[in-house]
Amino acid sequence: MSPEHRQIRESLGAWAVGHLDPDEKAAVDAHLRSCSECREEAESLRQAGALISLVDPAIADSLSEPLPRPSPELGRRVMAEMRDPEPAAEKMADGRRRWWLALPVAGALAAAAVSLVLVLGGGDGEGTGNSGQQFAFGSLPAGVTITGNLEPKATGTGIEVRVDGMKPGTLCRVYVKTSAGTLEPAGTFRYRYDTDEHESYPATLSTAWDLSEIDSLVIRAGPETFETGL
Amino acid sequence: MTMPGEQVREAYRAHSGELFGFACRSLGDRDRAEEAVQECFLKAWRSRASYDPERGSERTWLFAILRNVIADLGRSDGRRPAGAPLEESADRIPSTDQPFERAMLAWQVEEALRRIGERHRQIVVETCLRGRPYAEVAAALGIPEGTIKSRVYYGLRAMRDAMEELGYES
Ligand SMILES: [Zn+2]
Repeated sequence: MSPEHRQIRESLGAWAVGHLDPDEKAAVDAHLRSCSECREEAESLRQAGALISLVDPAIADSLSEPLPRPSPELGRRVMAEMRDPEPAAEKMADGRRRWWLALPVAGALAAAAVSLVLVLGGGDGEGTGNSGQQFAFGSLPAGVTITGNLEPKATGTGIEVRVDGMKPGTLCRVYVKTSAGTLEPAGTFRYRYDTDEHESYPATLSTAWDLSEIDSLVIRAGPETFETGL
Repeated sequence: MTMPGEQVREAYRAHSGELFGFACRSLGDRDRAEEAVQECFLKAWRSRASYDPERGSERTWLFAILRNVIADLGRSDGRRPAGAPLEESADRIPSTDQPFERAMLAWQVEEALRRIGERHRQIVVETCLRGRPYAEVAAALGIPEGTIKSRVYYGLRAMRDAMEELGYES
Protein backbone atom coordinates (compact mmCIF):
# COMPACT_ATOMS: atom_id res chain seq x y z
CA MET A 1 0.00 0.00 0.00
CA SER A 2 1.64 3.21 -1.14
CA PRO A 3 1.75 6.32 1.12
CA GLU A 4 -0.06 8.09 -1.68
CA HIS A 5 -2.86 5.55 -1.52
CA ARG A 6 -3.27 6.04 2.22
CA GLN A 7 -3.20 9.80 1.91
CA ILE A 8 -5.63 9.91 -1.00
CA ARG A 9 -8.01 7.49 0.64
CA GLU A 10 -9.64 9.94 3.05
CA SER A 11 -10.17 12.45 0.26
CA LEU A 12 -12.38 10.04 -1.66
CA GLY A 13 -15.51 11.14 0.19
CA ALA A 14 -15.02 14.78 -0.72
CA TRP A 15 -14.05 13.70 -4.24
CA ALA A 16 -17.24 11.64 -4.55
CA VAL A 17 -19.48 14.62 -3.78
CA GLY A 18 -17.43 17.11 -5.78
CA HIS A 19 -16.06 19.06 -2.84
CA LEU A 20 -12.35 19.05 -3.71
CA ASP A 21 -10.60 22.11 -5.07
CA PRO A 22 -9.12 21.66 -8.56
CA ASP A 23 -5.58 20.78 -7.40
CA GLU A 24 -6.73 18.14 -4.92
CA LYS A 25 -9.14 16.76 -7.46
CA ALA A 26 -6.38 16.45 -10.06
CA ALA A 27 -4.23 14.53 -7.57
CA VAL A 28 -7.07 12.13 -6.71
CA ASP A 29 -7.95 11.66 -10.39
CA ALA A 30 -4.35 10.77 -11.13
CA HIS A 31 -4.28 8.21 -8.32
CA LEU A 32 -7.59 6.70 -9.41
CA ARG A 33 -6.15 6.02 -12.84
CA SER A 34 -3.52 3.77 -11.30
CA CYS A 35 -5.37 2.28 -8.30
CA SER A 36 -8.34 0.02 -8.98
CA GLU A 37 -9.08 -0.40 -5.29
CA CYS A 38 -9.59 3.34 -4.85
CA ARG A 39 -11.57 3.53 -8.09
CA GLU A 40 -14.03 1.01 -6.79
CA GLU A 41 -14.28 2.74 -3.43
CA ALA A 42 -14.71 6.15 -5.05
CA GLU A 43 -17.47 4.91 -7.32
CA SER A 44 -19.45 3.36 -4.47
CA LEU A 45 -19.08 6.57 -2.46
CA ARG A 46 -20.22 8.60 -5.43
CA GLN A 47 -23.39 6.53 -5.61
CA ALA A 48 -23.98 6.90 -1.88
CA GLY A 49 -23.40 10.64 -2.12
CA ALA A 50 -25.90 10.95 -4.98
CA LEU A 51 -28.57 9.26 -2.87
CA ILE A 52 -28.28 11.92 -0.19
CA SER A 53 -29.84 14.48 -2.50
CA LEU A 54 -33.10 12.53 -2.18
CA VAL A 55 -33.45 13.66 1.41
CA ASP A 56 -35.41 16.82 2.07
CA PRO A 57 -32.97 19.21 3.83
CA ALA A 58 -35.88 20.49 5.90
CA ILE A 59 -36.21 17.17 7.72
CA ALA A 60 -32.49 16.51 8.11
CA ASP A 61 -32.38 17.81 11.68
CA SER A 62 -35.12 15.41 12.68
CA LEU A 63 -32.86 12.48 11.78
CA SER A 64 -31.35 12.70 15.27
CA GLU A 65 -34.75 12.48 16.88
CA PRO A 66 -36.49 9.20 17.54
CA LEU A 67 -39.09 8.17 14.98
CA PRO A 68 -42.75 8.71 15.85
CA ARG A 69 -44.03 5.56 17.50
CA PRO A 70 -47.35 3.91 16.75
CA SER A 71 -49.64 3.66 19.75
CA PRO A 72 -49.46 0.51 21.91
CA GLU A 73 -53.13 0.12 21.01
CA LEU A 74 -52.14 -0.51 17.38
CA GLY A 75 -49.79 -3.25 18.51
CA ARG A 76 -52.60 -4.90 20.47
CA ARG A 77 -54.98 -4.67 17.54
CA VAL A 78 -52.48 -6.11 15.11
CA MET A 79 -51.42 -8.91 17.45
CA ALA A 80 -55.07 -9.82 18.04
CA GLU A 81 -55.66 -10.04 14.32
CA MET A 82 -52.65 -12.24 13.91
CA ARG A 83 -53.99 -14.65 16.47
CA ASP A 84 -57.21 -15.00 14.55
CA PRO A 85 -56.39 -15.91 10.99
CA GLU A 86 -58.63 -13.11 9.79
CA PRO A 87 -60.40 -10.18 11.41
CA ALA A 88 -63.72 -10.67 13.12
CA ALA A 89 -66.67 -10.39 10.79
CA GLU A 90 -70.06 -9.00 11.60
CA LYS A 91 -71.96 -10.37 14.56
CA MET A 92 -74.83 -12.68 13.84
CA ALA A 93 -77.73 -11.99 16.14
CA ASP A 94 -79.39 -15.37 15.89
CA GLY A 95 -76.61 -17.42 17.38
CA ARG A 96 -75.34 -18.89 14.15
CA ARG A 97 -71.79 -18.68 13.13
CA ARG A 98 -70.86 -17.78 9.65
CA TRP A 99 -67.42 -18.17 8.23
CA TRP A 100 -65.89 -17.82 4.89
CA LEU A 101 -62.60 -18.20 3.15
CA ALA A 102 -61.44 -16.46 0.07
CA LEU A 103 -57.78 -16.11 -0.46
CA PRO A 104 -56.23 -16.20 -3.85
CA VAL A 105 -52.60 -17.04 -3.27
CA ALA A 106 -49.99 -17.34 -5.93
CA GLY A 107 -48.25 -20.65 -6.35
CA ALA A 108 -51.46 -22.58 -6.16
CA LEU A 109 -51.64 -26.20 -5.31
CA ALA A 110 -53.80 -28.63 -7.16
CA ALA A 111 -57.30 -27.53 -6.30
CA ALA A 112 -58.44 -31.06 -5.68
CA ALA A 113 -55.92 -31.69 -2.94
CA VAL A 114 -56.76 -29.42 -0.10
CA SER A 115 -57.50 -29.96 3.51
CA LEU A 116 -58.54 -27.08 5.64
CA VAL A 117 -58.84 -26.58 9.32
CA LEU A 118 -61.24 -23.88 10.30
CA VAL A 119 -61.06 -22.62 13.81
CA LEU A 120 -64.10 -21.02 15.28
CA GLY A 121 -64.32 -18.36 17.91
CA GLY A 122 -64.19 -19.29 21.55
CA GLY A 123 -67.13 -21.37 22.65
CA ASP A 124 -69.70 -18.75 23.63
CA GLY A 125 -72.76 -20.86 23.23
CA GLU A 126 -76.13 -20.73 21.70
CA GLY A 127 -78.19 -17.57 21.81
CA THR A 128 -75.44 -15.35 23.18
CA GLY A 129 -74.69 -13.60 19.93
CA ASN A 130 -71.70 -15.54 18.70
CA SER A 131 -69.45 -13.48 16.57
CA GLY A 132 -68.97 -14.72 13.05
CA GLN A 133 -65.40 -15.13 12.01
CA GLN A 134 -63.43 -15.11 8.85
CA PHE A 135 -60.52 -17.37 8.25
CA ALA A 136 -57.57 -17.20 5.99
CA PHE A 137 -55.45 -19.99 4.71
CA GLY A 138 -52.15 -19.06 3.23
CA SER A 139 -52.15 -22.38 1.46
CA LEU A 140 -55.61 -22.15 -0.05
CA PRO A 141 -55.23 -22.48 -3.80
CA ALA A 142 -55.98 -19.51 -5.99
CA GLY A 143 -59.61 -19.26 -6.96
CA VAL A 144 -60.89 -21.52 -4.19
CA THR A 145 -63.41 -20.10 -1.74
CA ILE A 146 -65.23 -21.79 1.10
CA THR A 147 -68.20 -20.31 2.90
CA GLY A 148 -70.54 -21.69 5.47
CA ASN A 149 -72.75 -21.46 8.49
CA LEU A 150 -72.91 -23.32 11.77
CA GLU A 151 -76.34 -23.16 13.31
CA PRO A 152 -77.56 -24.51 16.65
CA LYS A 153 -80.28 -27.17 16.34
CA ALA A 154 -82.33 -29.04 18.92
CA THR A 155 -80.28 -32.16 18.18
CA GLY A 156 -76.83 -30.63 17.79
CA THR A 157 -75.40 -28.29 15.20
CA GLY A 158 -76.31 -27.79 11.57
CA ILE A 159 -73.41 -27.26 9.21
CA GLU A 160 -73.83 -25.69 5.81
CA VAL A 161 -70.78 -25.61 3.58
CA ARG A 162 -70.29 -24.19 0.15
CA VAL A 163 -67.01 -24.56 -1.65
CA ASP A 164 -66.10 -23.01 -4.95
CA GLY A 165 -63.31 -23.25 -7.44
CA MET A 166 -62.33 -26.86 -6.85
CA LYS A 167 -62.23 -29.66 -9.37
CA PRO A 168 -65.84 -30.85 -9.83
CA GLY A 169 -66.41 -34.21 -8.19
CA THR A 170 -63.88 -33.62 -5.41
CA LEU A 171 -64.82 -35.55 -2.31
CA CYS A 172 -64.91 -33.34 0.77
CA ARG A 173 -64.90 -34.77 4.29
CA VAL A 174 -66.07 -32.55 7.09
CA TYR A 175 -65.11 -32.97 10.74
CA VAL A 176 -65.62 -30.93 13.86
CA LYS A 177 -62.87 -30.57 16.40
CA THR A 178 -64.41 -30.47 19.84
CA SER A 179 -63.28 -28.54 22.86
CA ALA A 180 -62.34 -31.94 24.31
CA GLY A 181 -59.82 -32.18 21.48
CA THR A 182 -61.46 -35.00 19.54
CA LEU A 183 -62.05 -34.97 15.80
CA GLU A 184 -65.61 -36.03 14.99
CA PRO A 185 -66.80 -36.80 11.45
CA ALA A 186 -69.72 -34.63 10.39
CA GLY A 187 -70.35 -36.01 6.94
CA THR A 188 -69.05 -35.97 3.41
CA PHE A 189 -70.10 -34.30 0.21
CA ARG A 190 -68.90 -33.95 -3.32
CA TYR A 191 -68.12 -30.61 -4.82
CA ARG A 192 -70.50 -29.89 -7.69
CA TYR A 193 -70.77 -26.89 -9.87
CA ASP A 194 -73.84 -25.73 -11.71
CA THR A 195 -72.60 -24.50 -15.03
CA ASP A 196 -75.92 -22.82 -15.82
CA GLU A 197 -76.23 -20.97 -12.54
CA HIS A 198 -72.47 -20.50 -12.24
CA GLU A 199 -72.46 -21.44 -8.63
CA SER A 200 -71.80 -24.43 -6.47
CA TYR A 201 -74.38 -26.24 -4.37
CA PRO A 202 -74.18 -25.90 -0.61
CA ALA A 203 -73.83 -29.12 1.37
CA THR A 204 -76.07 -29.47 4.41
CA LEU A 205 -74.57 -31.60 7.14
CA SER A 206 -74.95 -31.95 10.87
CA THR A 207 -73.26 -33.12 14.03
CA ALA A 208 -74.60 -34.16 17.40
CA TRP A 209 -72.16 -31.84 19.13
CA ASP A 210 -73.39 -28.54 20.48
CA LEU A 211 -72.11 -25.41 18.83
CA SER A 212 -70.58 -24.40 22.16
CA GLU A 213 -68.52 -27.59 22.20
CA ILE A 214 -67.03 -27.09 18.74
CA ASP A 215 -63.65 -25.45 18.53
CA SER A 216 -62.89 -25.86 14.91
CA LEU A 217 -64.08 -27.31 11.67
CA VAL A 218 -61.89 -29.44 9.45
CA ILE A 219 -62.52 -29.97 5.77
CA ARG A 220 -60.45 -32.44 3.81
CA ALA A 221 -60.73 -32.21 0.09
CA GLY A 222 -58.07 -34.56 -1.18
CA PRO A 223 -55.15 -36.34 0.40
CA GLU A 224 -52.94 -33.46 1.48
CA THR A 225 -53.17 -31.53 4.72
CA PHE A 226 -52.88 -27.79 5.04
CA GLU A 227 -53.55 -25.98 8.27
CA THR A 228 -54.13 -22.43 9.32
CA GLY A 229 -51.41 -20.66 11.23
CA LEU A 230 -52.80 -20.75 14.73
CA MET B 1 -41.46 -20.89 1.22
CA THR B 2 -43.49 -19.66 4.11
CA MET B 3 -43.15 -17.40 7.08
CA PRO B 4 -44.33 -18.88 10.38
CA GLY B 5 -46.91 -16.89 12.29
CA GLU B 6 -44.48 -16.17 15.10
CA GLN B 7 -42.09 -14.62 12.63
CA VAL B 8 -44.77 -12.20 11.43
CA ARG B 9 -45.42 -11.17 15.03
CA GLU B 10 -41.69 -10.76 15.51
CA ALA B 11 -41.56 -8.67 12.34
CA TYR B 12 -44.17 -6.36 13.83
CA ARG B 13 -41.94 -5.77 16.83
CA ALA B 14 -38.91 -5.19 14.62
CA HIS B 15 -40.32 -3.06 11.80
CA SER B 16 -43.62 -1.47 12.81
CA GLY B 17 -41.88 1.69 14.05
CA GLU B 18 -40.16 2.35 10.77
CA LEU B 19 -43.19 1.39 8.68
CA PHE B 20 -45.33 3.68 10.79
CA GLY B 21 -42.83 6.50 10.36
CA PHE B 22 -42.93 6.09 6.62
CA ALA B 23 -46.72 5.91 6.60
CA CYS B 24 -46.88 9.12 8.69
CA ARG B 25 -44.64 10.85 6.21
CA SER B 26 -46.61 9.63 3.19
CA LEU B 27 -50.09 10.15 4.56
CA GLY B 28 -49.40 13.13 6.81
CA ASP B 29 -51.65 11.82 9.53
CA ARG B 30 -51.08 9.53 12.51
CA ASP B 31 -54.49 7.86 12.46
CA ARG B 32 -54.31 7.07 8.79
CA ALA B 33 -50.74 5.87 9.24
CA GLU B 34 -51.88 3.45 11.93
CA GLU B 35 -54.65 2.26 9.67
CA ALA B 36 -52.09 1.65 6.92
CA VAL B 37 -49.70 -0.26 9.20
CA GLN B 38 -52.54 -2.39 10.54
CA GLU B 39 -53.66 -3.23 7.02
CA CYS B 40 -50.06 -3.91 6.03
CA PHE B 41 -49.57 -6.51 8.76
CA LEU B 42 -52.95 -8.03 8.09
CA LYS B 43 -51.97 -8.51 4.47
CA ALA B 44 -48.59 -9.83 5.54
CA TRP B 45 -50.30 -12.28 7.87
CA ARG B 46 -52.65 -13.50 5.19
CA SER B 47 -49.98 -13.88 2.56
CA ARG B 48 -47.18 -15.14 4.79
CA ALA B 49 -47.26 -18.43 2.93
CA SER B 50 -46.03 -16.67 -0.16
CA TYR B 51 -43.12 -14.88 1.51
CA ASP B 52 -39.90 -15.84 -0.23
CA PRO B 53 -36.70 -14.88 1.60
CA GLU B 54 -34.78 -15.48 -1.63
CA ARG B 55 -36.52 -12.50 -3.16
CA GLY B 56 -35.79 -9.99 -0.45
CA SER B 57 -35.59 -9.29 3.23
CA GLU B 58 -38.55 -9.31 5.55
CA ARG B 59 -38.23 -5.54 5.77
CA THR B 60 -38.31 -5.13 2.00
CA TRP B 61 -41.32 -7.42 1.77
CA LEU B 62 -43.22 -5.43 4.39
CA PHE B 63 -42.39 -2.14 2.71
CA ALA B 64 -43.64 -3.50 -0.59
CA ILE B 65 -46.93 -4.43 1.07
CA LEU B 66 -47.16 -1.05 2.80
CA ARG B 67 -46.48 0.65 -0.49
CA ASN B 68 -49.57 -0.98 -2.00
CA VAL B 69 -51.68 -0.23 1.05
CA ILE B 70 -50.75 3.44 0.94
CA ALA B 71 -51.35 3.60 -2.79
CA ASP B 72 -54.82 2.09 -2.23
CA LEU B 73 -55.57 4.52 0.58
CA GLY B 74 -54.46 7.37 -1.66
CA ARG B 75 -56.70 6.14 -4.46
CA SER B 76 -59.74 5.72 -2.24
CA ASP B 77 -59.23 9.28 -1.01
CA GLY B 78 -58.74 10.70 -4.45
CA ARG B 79 -55.44 11.96 -3.09
CA ARG B 80 -51.95 11.07 -4.05
CA PRO B 81 -49.74 9.99 -1.23
CA ALA B 82 -47.07 12.58 -0.77
CA GLY B 83 -43.42 11.81 -0.94
CA ALA B 84 -40.72 14.14 0.20
CA PRO B 85 -41.01 17.17 -2.07
CA LEU B 86 -38.11 16.95 -4.46
CA GLU B 87 -36.92 18.80 -7.45
CA GLU B 88 -36.05 16.91 -10.57
CA SER B 89 -32.37 16.25 -10.98
CA ALA B 90 -32.43 13.11 -13.01
CA ASP B 91 -28.72 12.86 -13.60
CA ARG B 92 -27.93 12.78 -9.90
CA ILE B 93 -30.62 10.46 -8.69
CA PRO B 94 -30.34 6.79 -9.36
CA SER B 95 -33.09 4.25 -9.49
CA THR B 96 -36.52 5.49 -10.32
CA ASP B 97 -38.62 8.41 -11.41
CA GLN B 98 -41.87 7.28 -9.82
CA PRO B 99 -42.75 9.76 -7.05
CA PHE B 100 -43.73 7.00 -4.67
CA GLU B 101 -40.65 4.91 -5.38
CA ARG B 102 -38.56 7.98 -4.83
CA ALA B 103 -40.24 8.67 -1.53
CA MET B 104 -39.51 5.08 -0.48
CA LEU B 105 -35.91 5.37 -1.54
CA ALA B 106 -35.60 8.72 0.23
CA TRP B 107 -36.94 7.07 3.35
CA GLN B 108 -34.37 4.33 3.04
CA VAL B 109 -31.62 6.93 2.72
CA GLU B 110 -32.93 8.70 5.81
CA GLU B 111 -32.93 5.42 7.69
CA ALA B 112 -29.34 4.82 6.59
CA LEU B 113 -28.42 8.30 7.82
CA ARG B 114 -30.12 7.60 11.15
CA ARG B 115 -27.95 4.54 11.52
CA ILE B 116 -24.54 6.08 10.94
CA GLY B 117 -24.26 7.96 14.19
CA GLU B 118 -24.55 11.60 15.10
CA ARG B 119 -20.96 12.75 14.49
CA HIS B 120 -20.81 11.52 10.94
CA ARG B 121 -24.42 12.30 10.11
CA GLN B 122 -23.99 15.92 11.14
CA ILE B 123 -21.04 16.41 8.81
CA VAL B 124 -22.65 14.56 5.91
CA VAL B 125 -25.86 16.56 6.28
CA GLU B 126 -24.12 19.93 6.54
CA THR B 127 -21.71 19.40 3.66
CA CYS B 128 -23.32 16.92 1.25
CA LEU B 129 -26.97 17.81 1.73
CA ARG B 130 -26.86 21.50 2.67
CA GLY B 131 -23.73 22.24 0.70
CA ARG B 132 -22.02 24.31 3.40
CA PRO B 133 -18.30 24.90 2.83
CA TYR B 134 -15.93 22.72 4.91
CA ALA B 135 -14.20 25.78 6.38
CA GLU B 136 -17.49 27.18 7.63
CA VAL B 137 -18.58 23.89 9.20
CA ALA B 138 -15.12 23.41 10.70
CA ALA B 139 -15.21 26.87 12.27
CA ALA B 140 -18.74 26.39 13.59
CA LEU B 141 -17.82 23.09 15.23
CA GLY B 142 -14.32 24.10 16.29
CA ILE B 143 -12.60 21.21 14.56
CA PRO B 144 -9.92 21.17 11.82
CA GLU B 145 -11.02 21.21 8.20
CA GLY B 146 -9.11 17.97 7.61
CA THR B 147 -11.34 16.28 10.16
CA ILE B 148 -14.40 17.38 8.22
CA LYS B 149 -12.95 15.83 5.10
CA SER B 150 -12.21 12.51 6.75
CA ARG B 151 -15.64 12.43 8.38
CA VAL B 152 -17.25 12.95 4.98
CA TYR B 153 -15.29 9.88 3.86
CA TYR B 154 -16.17 7.67 6.83
CA GLY B 155 -19.73 9.00 6.92
CA LEU B 156 -20.37 8.17 3.27
CA ARG B 157 -18.83 4.74 3.73
CA ALA B 158 -21.04 4.04 6.73
CA MET B 159 -24.05 5.27 4.83
CA ARG B 160 -23.23 3.10 1.83
CA ASP B 161 -22.91 0.06 4.12
CA ALA B 162 -26.17 0.93 5.90
CA MET B 163 -27.93 1.14 2.53
CA GLU B 164 -26.64 -2.30 1.71
CA GLU B 165 -27.89 -3.62 5.04
CA LEU B 166 -31.28 -2.17 4.19
CA GLY B 167 -31.33 -4.16 0.99
CA TYR B 168 -30.42 -1.41 -1.45
CA GLU B 169 -28.61 -2.55 -4.55
CA SER B 170 -26.99 0.09 -6.64
ZN1 LIG C 1 -5.47 3.68 -3.92
